[in-house]
Amino acid sequence: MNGVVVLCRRELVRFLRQPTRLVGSLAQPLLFWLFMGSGFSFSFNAFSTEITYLQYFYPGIVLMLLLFAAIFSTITLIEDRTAGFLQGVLVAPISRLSMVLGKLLGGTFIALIQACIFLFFAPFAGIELALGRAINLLFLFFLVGLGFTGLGFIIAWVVDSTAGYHAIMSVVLIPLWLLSGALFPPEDSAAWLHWVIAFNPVSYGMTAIRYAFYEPLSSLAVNPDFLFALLIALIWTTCTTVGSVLIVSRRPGG
Amino acid sequence: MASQVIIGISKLSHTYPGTRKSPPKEALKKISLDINAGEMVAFLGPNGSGKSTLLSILTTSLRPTCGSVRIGDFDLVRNPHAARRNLGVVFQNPALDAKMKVSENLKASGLLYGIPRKQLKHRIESILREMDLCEWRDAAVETLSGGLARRVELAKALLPLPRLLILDEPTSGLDPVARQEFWGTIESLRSRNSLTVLVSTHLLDEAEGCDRVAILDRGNLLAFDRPGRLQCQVGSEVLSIEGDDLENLRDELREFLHLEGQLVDSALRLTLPDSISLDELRKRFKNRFKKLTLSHPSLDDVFVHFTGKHLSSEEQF
Repeated sequence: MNGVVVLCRRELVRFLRQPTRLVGSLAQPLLFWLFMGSGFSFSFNAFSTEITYLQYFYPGIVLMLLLFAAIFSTITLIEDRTAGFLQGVLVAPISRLSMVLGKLLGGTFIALIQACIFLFFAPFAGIELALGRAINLLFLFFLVGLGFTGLGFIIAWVVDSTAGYHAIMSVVLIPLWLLSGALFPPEDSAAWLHWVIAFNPVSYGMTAIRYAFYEPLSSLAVNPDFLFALLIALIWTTCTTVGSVLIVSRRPGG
Repeated sequence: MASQVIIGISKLSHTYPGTRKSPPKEALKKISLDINAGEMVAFLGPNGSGKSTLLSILTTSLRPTCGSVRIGDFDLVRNPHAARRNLGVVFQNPALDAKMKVSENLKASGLLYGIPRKQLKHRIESILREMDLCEWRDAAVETLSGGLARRVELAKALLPLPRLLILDEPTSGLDPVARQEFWGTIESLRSRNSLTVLVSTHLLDEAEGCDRVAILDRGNLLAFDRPGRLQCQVGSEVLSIEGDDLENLRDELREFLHLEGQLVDSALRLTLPDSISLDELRKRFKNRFKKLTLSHPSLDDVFVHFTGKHLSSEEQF
């Protein structure tokens, strides 16, 4: 248990000691939201009169924030390996499970901190943040954040350079976000895209977060779409977490 | 006096699996050796000799293909987790978090080794004093010089009071002054505690300062003894001859004087027996030598004796 706390704490300390990382991780989604939200507003409003694109895109940008937080925290795994810090952890008398959980939880808490700060912009997207909704959202952010961090961990463990990680980020991780319903409603897209989105596990995290933003808490418990999305998100996060532990245990010396 | 064996290595082998492009690589070949408590042992060999593989196995980073290693009462292969509690490791690459302070690095490491928080504070203070690092306690590691950072690495490795300290090319990247300081610290630590130290190195002067030296080449353990005794095996004096047509000279020396020479790089090296004097050699092969060097055998001569090549000139794989 000590190992989990020590490694998780290290992630947070490193994050807080690099102010540019904190500013960058918040400024990027904010600028994306404002520029793209305003830019697509007119075309989007032609299809939907219920909400503006800025409102629609807000949960999507939170998902992007969670994704990038996971990317930036798991890419440090490659740095740790190159710089040697990981060697020291691997010869310490802690289990591989503690090592993985420390890294994953550290990355997830960083994502959670960023997402919490971003929640202050929710009123500008026409979302009222009551306590119950905020707590529910934090749970979902944790769940989806952990899923992304687990996926990032697996990639970082397999790939041996940051350049390789960036390549996978561009062709795998960012498309997972693009095709999750974060940018455009799946129901209005082409049929093939519809299928891709349906098979993308990240779409279900997106759907759950979107419902949690817009629907009252009382109706979520009886909303089958939300509950199904939550279930798939849970399964996905479990898979990436277990996958991270397995891939590390495969390493000789375990 | 019989010493207590702290590390028992028996028939240790490791083969790296091949890929589609490269065949399997046998990095260690049935190595057996015992190391006594309190000894400082150097693993000496060029790149590809197997010393890094051996150290990876001893630090539990790599599971060997076959063979056994005991550290104290623990079987390192079967129970690496328990064996890790006895190990302090200083890696060739820095294993500190550069963004964190010296004290934070030590605290994190101490907690990873399961030192109770109450004891840890006291232990950190004591190791900072011992290693003369008190004034750097709150400095971020990235602001320290290479020599100081190595000392922090050492402090981190010694914090859990290991029985065995493993140093993997510990002075690589350090300037001569910092290297000397590092070894001075190790010596003073050894004089105060009965610490067993294993060092992997390709530097001869570092190996000469150890109690015993294990010479490795291409996965084989060629010799394991005290530096002085290894040097005696080569002979009392080593003659190095430089000149033209050394191959013919070697054959003539063999034929007429029964002297077995080795052509190493651009010199002919041979051990001179007491029955043949240098003057006799000079008279007999007049004008055939450009340069003659007579010296007491060094560990490099020992390495040449066993492998037929210089330690420094060898770059394999």
